Amino acid sequence: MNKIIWVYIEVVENEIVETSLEALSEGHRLAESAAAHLAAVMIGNDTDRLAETVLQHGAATLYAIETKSADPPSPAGHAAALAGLIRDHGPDVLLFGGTLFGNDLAVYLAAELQTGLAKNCDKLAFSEKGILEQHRLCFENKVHTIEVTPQARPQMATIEPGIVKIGKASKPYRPGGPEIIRTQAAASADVDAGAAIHLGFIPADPRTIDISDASIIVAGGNAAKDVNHFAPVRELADCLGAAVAGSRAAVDNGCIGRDRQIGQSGKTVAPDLMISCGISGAHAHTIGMKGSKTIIAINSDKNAPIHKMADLGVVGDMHGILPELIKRLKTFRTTGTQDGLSDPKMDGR
Amino acid sequence: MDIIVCIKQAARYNIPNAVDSSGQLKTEDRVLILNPYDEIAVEEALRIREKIGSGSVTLVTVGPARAQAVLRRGLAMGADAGLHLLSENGHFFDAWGIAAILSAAISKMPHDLLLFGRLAIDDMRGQVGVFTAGLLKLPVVTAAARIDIDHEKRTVRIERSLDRGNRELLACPLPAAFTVDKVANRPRYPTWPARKQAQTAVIKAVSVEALGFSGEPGEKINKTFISRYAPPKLRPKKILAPDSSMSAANRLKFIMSGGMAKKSGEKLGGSPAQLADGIIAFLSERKMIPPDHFLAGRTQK
Amino acid sequence: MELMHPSVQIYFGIPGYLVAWLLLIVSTAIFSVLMMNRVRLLAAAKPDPRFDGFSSRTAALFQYGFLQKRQPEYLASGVIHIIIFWGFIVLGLRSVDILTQGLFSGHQMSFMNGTFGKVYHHIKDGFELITLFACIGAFYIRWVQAPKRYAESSRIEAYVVLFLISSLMVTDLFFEGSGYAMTADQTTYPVKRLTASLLSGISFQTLKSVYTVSFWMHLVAFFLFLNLLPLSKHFHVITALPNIWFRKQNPGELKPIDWREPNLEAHDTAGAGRLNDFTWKQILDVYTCTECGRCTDTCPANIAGRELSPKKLITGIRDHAYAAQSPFSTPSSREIAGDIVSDAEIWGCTTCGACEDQCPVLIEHVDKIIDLRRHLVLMKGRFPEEIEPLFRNLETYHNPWGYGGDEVRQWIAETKASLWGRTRDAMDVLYWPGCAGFFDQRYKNVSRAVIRLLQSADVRFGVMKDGVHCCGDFARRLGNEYVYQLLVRKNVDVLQKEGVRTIVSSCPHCCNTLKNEYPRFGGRFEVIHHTEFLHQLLAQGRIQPQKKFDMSVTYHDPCYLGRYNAVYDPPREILHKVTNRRVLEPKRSRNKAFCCGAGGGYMWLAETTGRVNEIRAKELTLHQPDVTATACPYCLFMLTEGMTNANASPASCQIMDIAEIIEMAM
Repeated sequence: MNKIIWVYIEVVENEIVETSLEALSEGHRLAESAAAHLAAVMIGNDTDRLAETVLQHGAATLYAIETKSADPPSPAGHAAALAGLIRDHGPDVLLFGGTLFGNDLAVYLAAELQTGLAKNCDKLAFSEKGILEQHRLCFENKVHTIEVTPQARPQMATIEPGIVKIGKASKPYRPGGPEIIRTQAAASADVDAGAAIHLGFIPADPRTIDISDASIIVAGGNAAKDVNHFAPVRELADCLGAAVAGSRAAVDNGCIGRDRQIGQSGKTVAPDLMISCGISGAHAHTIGMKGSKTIIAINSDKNAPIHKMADLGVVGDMHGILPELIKRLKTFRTTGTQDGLSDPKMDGR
Repeated sequence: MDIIVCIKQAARYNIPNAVDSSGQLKTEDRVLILNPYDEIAVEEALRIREKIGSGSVTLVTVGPARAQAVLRRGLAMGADAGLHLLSENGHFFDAWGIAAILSAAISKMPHDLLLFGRLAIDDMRGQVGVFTAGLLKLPVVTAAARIDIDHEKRTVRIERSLDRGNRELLACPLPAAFTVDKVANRPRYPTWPARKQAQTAVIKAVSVEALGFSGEPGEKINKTFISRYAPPKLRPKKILAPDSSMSAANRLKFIMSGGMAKKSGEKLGGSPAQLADGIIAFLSERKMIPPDHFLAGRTQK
Repeated sequence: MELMHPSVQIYFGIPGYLVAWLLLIVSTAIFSVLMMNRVRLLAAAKPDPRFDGFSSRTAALFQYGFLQKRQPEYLASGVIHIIIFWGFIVLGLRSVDILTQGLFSGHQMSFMNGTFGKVYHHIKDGFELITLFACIGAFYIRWVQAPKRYAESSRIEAYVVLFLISSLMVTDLFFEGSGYAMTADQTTYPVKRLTASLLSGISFQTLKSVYTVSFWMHLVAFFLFLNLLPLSKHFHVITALPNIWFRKQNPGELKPIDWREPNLEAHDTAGAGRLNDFTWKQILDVYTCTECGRCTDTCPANIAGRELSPKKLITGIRDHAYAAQSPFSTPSSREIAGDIVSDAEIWGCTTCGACEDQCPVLIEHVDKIIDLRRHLVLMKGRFPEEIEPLFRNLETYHNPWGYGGDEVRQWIAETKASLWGRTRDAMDVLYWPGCAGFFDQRYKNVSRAVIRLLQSADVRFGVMKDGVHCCGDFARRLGNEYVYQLLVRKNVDVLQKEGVRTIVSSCPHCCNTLKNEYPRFGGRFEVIHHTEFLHQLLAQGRIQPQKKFDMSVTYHDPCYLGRYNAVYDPPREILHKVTNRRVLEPKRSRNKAFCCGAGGGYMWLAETTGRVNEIRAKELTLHQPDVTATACPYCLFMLTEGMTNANASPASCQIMDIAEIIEMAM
């Protein structure tokens, strides 16, 4: 009896999340290695449009669950919707992309199905006996473990984002070509009398969130020597929807509070984008921001240590550059995004 | 209000590789601590009790004799009682195993609120809370950042953490279970008198056997097992997607450098206007403007 | 003509001597009540063993008490005070003499009549004049110069006291002078002759009034002053000499949780929450404050603009103690930390000890601050949040930064240092790099240099790989006695088990605690700082530097090496050996050195106001030395940062440890 591998496809704002495609690619690789049947399951409003992409990446079958609800997905709700389907079809393996939602959903589903789950796996393989070996890191990434769920089914795993290469399948493994099975989500499947009810979302306000949570940070340092000179830093942050932070010098100059200090005696931040203005880059500061994905450093001293760790080093005086930058960003906003679509969410920031 | 907090004694290593040559977890350079997320859960329980003005906070842990230390640490913070579900040293329990043991014990205790840490820093599973709640048939919300309890109406308003400081708002009736996120609070530092008292406090101990579970490996309450341990391999850094808008030259540069591992970035010079242009170009190239196009990726754990 | 002594005159039917007796009895009664309150608080306070070391205590009493050794630090005020002090002692006898005359109808004590009396009168007269001038000088300084250190002190009280002291002199002068003027007696005493002649033009009746009034005013001033003592800063007149005698013999040791039982485990409470948590010596200290303000004047935290003023701290506790005492109450239940003394003041201290070094009456400020910190940390869990990671790291990983064993093993492998006890040969010395020497990137260069120097001198030394933890100094100075004792117990266990006798350490904080504080917990070792040890090796010729540099060097005395342990010369002598220029002394050096700012846990406390290290950095680089030398990892870190921040020519001035400098010269 051939194994059945299912992959859950996460849909956000009517687009497939990249990590789900990674999971699907991994599922496809596993399926090829064991001549297993690969299926995908997706819940959304517009599944027809997305189906093609899923099939292109190797799914032989797609279970498309159409929901009318425009509500954002709740993990408990989706888990309830999927549980029945999974019990009916009994896949051996169930994979998810290890996004925040994917991991949450997987746990709820594993609870519902009373089966084992390994999260954030970076490799999967079938053992000689045909059991899924789930490779993952634990102990704060200091131990590599291989976990197995010998009996309970399905064997559930989530895939660590950014590890698997997404590849388009040469051919889906199913004689007769791919099929799409459509179902409607049960109307009140996700409302259980005693369950938690979703009430809404509270978007992060970059002005008030903790800087260690911020995805974009504009930080000012010694060069912005007082509150007046620090104002452009704040304005730039506002334009970008970024959080304001700074080095210890900025705290001492009274420009920011200690809760916005980055560094050895302050907070550690890991934003996707860090714009550092007038900060020299002493070790005591950089130790708190070296986890930033992309760093732009504006410092008039070309030998400042911060330039060594910047993706883009701007050698110039922040007091001249920031106003120019702000001017350009403001025009950017009024004329819309790069591809011409205006985005209403931007105004909320 | 009877609050139960499930806590774990977690292992933490201070060295990059915690597996020795024979595939065993090292015991050198290992410290055993109260799981930091659980400490936050205990603090949350204490704050809830303080806000309501009455109630009890009981700590429960599953583990060998040495796990008693975390119960005492929690008692030193101000918890009222501790329950030690004693297992044999070396016996392995997965999330289902722990959940079975916990629910067996908790089902016999009065409980209005069950709190867990979001995950344990050693196994990094984050499942025990949801599984235990399921076995006890309690509603569960994970990654709670803020818990507001209406004691009279027996309902709870919860904010749970999404990525990047965004939050989801939920409501839930009591009794319920929550796993608590790191941002929920900052745990108090125990005072000396509290520590001293906790050292000699009486902790009830019940063996796992007495609850009806044997701790033998392969025990049927576990569903997942560790096949083996190995030293960690460095995970490759993320490589930009093939259809990114970067120029071919830059993309090649990125791939050759293994992604974003090394920063030897470009440097710009020129007039302020030119520099500003350069920054805008850099940001556009990486689709960082406008900002939320960039945030929609949702690739966080 | 017979002079009628005021004590035999009749006032409204009452003979003078009865008035005198009345004055005596009433004043003594009031004085006793006041003193009883003061003493009662002392008696109820916690114990403090200060009765050992008789000879050294007596020597100290002589030096600091009678010779007033610290007074001349501020020359004008100092000289004035020495004069007034000795004036008091000399003139005290005269006031007693006058009182005796008053009580016994003009009769003096027998020894005052003979040769002693004559000699005494000469001395006394001279002192009276000089002291009077001193009082005028004091008045001038307070009124006109109004130095900053007298701020926060009652001006009125000061003027009243100066007035009373002056009155004692003046009334005596006039009493005698008028006496001689009336009898037109030619006296051999020059001063008396002078005053007599001053008064000679006055009518007899007036002279008689002057004679009588001066007499009684003297007694009134005397008793008034006596009773003012326990109520004012002049209580030090009574308590200063005892306070000096009861000084701490071992300045490097902080007061333990409890002198009788230093182990925290044995106590349910720790630190000073309320007044009755202090020991009697701590209470005596606050009684003795003269409000001279020299402590605050020299406090680096205060100079850098922080809230802390050592003087205000001491007088604050004193005023609270006085307020809490009334005949019917028990000591106050008000909390000292947060109420009498603010949290900011308590956390502002770097424990540099400059205040204690300057205090003329040897008050121990630091112990009180640490006791208050202990209360905040151990009893209240209330402390600046930036030190919580330090406490947690020390408790879990036994070093301040949370590093693991790998770092230590790597460092040992790099330096090729031998492991203690693992080789066949006996090892003489354990090298203790300190946490910074093991883990801090910059200071590892220094510990490596020390090891290379020790190796080149063929010293039989080893380093401890496992089991040695942070010495705990910072935890203790931040008030966390729990973490401190955890570390001490572990360290003492290991060191004893491994048979360690002599320790050479690179960190003055480690040196201080290992040497001065560990003994109380059972760990007795010979502890020596690497500069002292290297100095010995240089002297023995086991290290032979080849070069001499033509560079200007200045040396910064680390507080815990200099002030606390009196090691000033070995580092300087080393520098002399390797440079052919004079070693520049910064303005404040040796025991007056200005703290770098890292002590008292400040290494980990964020600076909000006032950068102590920048102030010191500027001071050190005033004469643009090529190199600033120091002997402490925290000084090194702080001064480097201070120089960068203060833009004190970082490029031209290097900061190096003494060991690195020697190595450069090899």
